[in-house]
Amino acid sequence: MSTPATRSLTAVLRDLTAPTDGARVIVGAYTGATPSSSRYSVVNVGGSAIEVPKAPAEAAGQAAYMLAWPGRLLVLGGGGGGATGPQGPPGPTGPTGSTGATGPTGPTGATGATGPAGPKGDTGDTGPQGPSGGSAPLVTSLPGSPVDGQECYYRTGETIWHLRYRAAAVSAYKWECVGGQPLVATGTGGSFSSTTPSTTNTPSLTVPLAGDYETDFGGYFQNAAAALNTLIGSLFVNAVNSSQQVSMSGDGQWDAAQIYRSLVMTHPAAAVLNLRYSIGAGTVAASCKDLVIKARPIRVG
Amino acid sequence: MPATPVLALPYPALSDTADVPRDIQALAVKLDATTSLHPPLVTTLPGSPVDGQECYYQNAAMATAGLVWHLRYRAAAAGAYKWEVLGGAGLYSEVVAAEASAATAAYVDLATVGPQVTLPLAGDYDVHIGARINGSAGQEVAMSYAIGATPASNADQIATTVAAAGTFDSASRRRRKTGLAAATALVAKYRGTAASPIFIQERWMLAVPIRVG
Repeated sequence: MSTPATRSLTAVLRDLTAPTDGARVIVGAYTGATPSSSRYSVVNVGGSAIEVPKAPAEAAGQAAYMLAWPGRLLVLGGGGGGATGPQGPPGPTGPTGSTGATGPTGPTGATGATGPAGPKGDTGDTGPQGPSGGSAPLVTSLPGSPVDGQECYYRTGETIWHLRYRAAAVSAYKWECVGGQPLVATGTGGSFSSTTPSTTNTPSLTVPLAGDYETDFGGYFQNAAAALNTLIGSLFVNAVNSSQQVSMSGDGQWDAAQIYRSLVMTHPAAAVLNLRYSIGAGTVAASCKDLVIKARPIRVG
Repeated sequence: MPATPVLALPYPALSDTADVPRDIQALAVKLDATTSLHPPLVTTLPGSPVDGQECYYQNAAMATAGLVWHLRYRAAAAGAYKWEVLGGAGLYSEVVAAEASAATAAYVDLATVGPQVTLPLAGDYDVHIGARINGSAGQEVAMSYAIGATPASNADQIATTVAAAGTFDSASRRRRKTGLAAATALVAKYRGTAASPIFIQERWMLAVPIRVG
């Protein structure tokens, strides 16, 4: 069997490798380089710079579209023409940030600082309240070697005093009270007709620390006879009459008054305060009730 | 060892030797002395306070008496006095000795003027006064106090009608006084009637701050 000349290996290879006569689209890029004539532009095609007829609106970097076939090259124009389109819409909102971290320790007794905002998206939730910053300790005896500015919450029974140590204080009592309620004791009192102070149903309290105290005492006193009578409430400290007293005089059977006294007193540690009642002279009957003693520290040590 | 820019808290640098106890102690010591973690002791109120700010106020006279007021600034507080008192004792004064005045229906001083207190800060105060009082039988005897240049008035008085000469009656009262100016002196005064002398002893005054500014 013979092979036709048009199907020989040589003929087939020649056909496959021969330049085509068909037109091809070539895409180059304007280089912006200066051409040899203002009628041309320089285009980079496959790494080679060639000059092509100048097309309108050429710009360096733009695509240059060309139609080429053997012996011919026709520039179709530049690519990427036209104005830049408007900016696209923003992307969707990012996810809500995580809850902020716990705020740092705040000042004494104050609310903790707000936690930082979440990293992205909506602001993170407010962080939980920070711990009470610089909180003073709760103690039942004063610190042994305090330093200037040191604070503590001193508890005695159900009463708490906020104390601050001031080293420069001239007094021996350098723990100054910056808050807290007084110790309070009450007594129901009763009838009496003696010049000897009675201890029956009288209020009594013990101050735990030595120091200066704002001390209040008094009650309701009433004459029980139509005769001149002086009714006295006397403050005793450690069973000794302090000479601090409240008093009222009446000459009518039901003359009465609420009588109170406030003063600053210095007490030793564990001093017992007791309000007792008596009459000034004679044996005229009287009564008292709603007796009270209060002691609030000013400075202790 | 480098430190943070605001509170100057120390922390180890990469080039420092590894010593955790040393570094933690340095941080703890610094924190312990950082006054912004607890209210400062001041002799004048902070000039540009912020909401929630606190301080311990104590001027020289208060330091002598051992008084200190714990104050907290509340920006939303109505009125001019936005430093609210969280704690601390009041200003106290007393005259123990028994003293007399000639018959007078007008408020006067006794031989020892007072008791009296001078307010360190403008504000609202609860003013307490008290005394043991005597005169002639049936006589009304009163104690009140001048407020700066404003004379004492019956509006602030305590008074008792004497049952018998020589028998002392206790009387006391608390009244809230608002809008008192800084450096105002509260000075106790006394009166009776034009007919008889009066006798006062164990007289006292206590001014407790409510809010100041």
